[in-house]
Amino acid sequence: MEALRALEPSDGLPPPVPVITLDAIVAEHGAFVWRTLRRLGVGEAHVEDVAQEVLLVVHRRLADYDARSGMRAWLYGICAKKGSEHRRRAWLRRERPVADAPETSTEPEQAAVLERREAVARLEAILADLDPRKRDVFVLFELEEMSLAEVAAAVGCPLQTAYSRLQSARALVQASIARLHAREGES
Amino acid sequence: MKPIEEPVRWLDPRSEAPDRLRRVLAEGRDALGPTPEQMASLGASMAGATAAATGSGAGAGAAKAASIAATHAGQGLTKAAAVKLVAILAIGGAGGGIGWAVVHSSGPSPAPQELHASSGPGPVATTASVPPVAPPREDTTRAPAASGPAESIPVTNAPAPSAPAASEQAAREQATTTATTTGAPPRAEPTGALAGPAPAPTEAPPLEAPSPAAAPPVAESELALLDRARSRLPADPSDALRALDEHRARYPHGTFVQEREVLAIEALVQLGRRPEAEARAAAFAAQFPGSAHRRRIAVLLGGDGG
Repeated sequence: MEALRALEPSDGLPPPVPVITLDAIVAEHGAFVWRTLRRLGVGEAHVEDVAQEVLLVVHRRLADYDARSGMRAWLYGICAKKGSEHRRRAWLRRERPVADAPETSTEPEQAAVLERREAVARLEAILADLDPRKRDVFVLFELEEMSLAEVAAAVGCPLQTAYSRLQSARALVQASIARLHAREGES
Repeated sequence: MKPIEEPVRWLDPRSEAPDRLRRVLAEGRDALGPTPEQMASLGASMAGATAAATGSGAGAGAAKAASIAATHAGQGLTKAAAVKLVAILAIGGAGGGIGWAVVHSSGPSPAPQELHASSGPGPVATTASVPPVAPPREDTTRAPAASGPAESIPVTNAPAPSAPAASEQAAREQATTTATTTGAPPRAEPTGALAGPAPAPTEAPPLEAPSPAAAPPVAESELALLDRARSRLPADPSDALRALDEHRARYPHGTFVQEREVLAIEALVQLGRRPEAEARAAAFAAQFPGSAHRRRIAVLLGGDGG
């Protein structure tokens, strides 16, 4: 059935050439790469550089991409590798994130910066109890909106395992948000 | 093997997750991601970087990379060079936060267009000359490759409009319509460019198709609206105000109510509508007496107390 459809060159028009360009990947998955690197511990000051490294690898290896596991699963693997390389380098250099923004920032924008940091901190707080494996599954499924199958491919575990990690991560997250709320309620 | 039912994502409003939790998730995700300016800068610098990297980029993709890069070198480099500067500034200025203040100060950076530009005209030429992925597996993929796009056309033609603003709008609308018609709502983002025509091996479509199953990103559009307002504010405060009014209508109890009010007050001040600005400032003070934004509001109104 699919093969039949495939043989019909949609009403005389030449069929679109299936192409993945780096541009398209950047446009579509750049934010995913960025967030993934941030979550993997790449600081804001370096994330664009590391994202570029990731995308260069993508660019070089586009031919190796196996669509069966999904683009994001593939990108995630590259991010994980580059992210850990970066952390190792940063550790060797004993780098610390740059703290001071230049004075050109104006106040409302700084407020936005602060808000973003707070949002990240809130998210961190509710993910704090998750071990890395559960956290990965939780984040990829809940935040990155990957399917469970994609998540399983990305983290390299069976689907059933991804499912149970998600369930237990959810329970932990719910517990920690309940605790946070209880604490807020007291004050 | 018993099939595993895909759980309803917590970001999906139909899920059991409480609103506050959903908000924390959505906001955290957005805050971790790049700003539109950062995205534009990344896209632009990639155009240049691939050209530079090709020299050292050995391996299977080198030949393709070369031709892609060649295309980019012609079309992208000038822009890339210019934007790279912005990128450097942005990185320098990021400092653990975001760099867009710097980006703005170095000139109007029409992020979405930039982004669009780098993914628009560029790949057209590239597309014609290099099909980077398809050829190696042509033998196994002919049929499925074509079936991929065929399957995803109904899903993707709505969000296809490439101008980011339009596609965001379309995605939002589409998300609401499709959510009701299918069990697994397609992702709100335009997936067409990739997921559809991906040179899919045989089993790919079933994986690719349900994968974008996603709730409409809940806070993303709220944040996007505010980002738009914020970026228009310097040049066109009334346009910014329109975006803020839209925000007020759509997210009366949104996450960024305070931020919106501060921006609105700033816009009103810039437009010389001072009484309105003051009224909103008073309402703000009443509603959020402990807010850290009150100092900023006081500064905006040129007063000396908040």
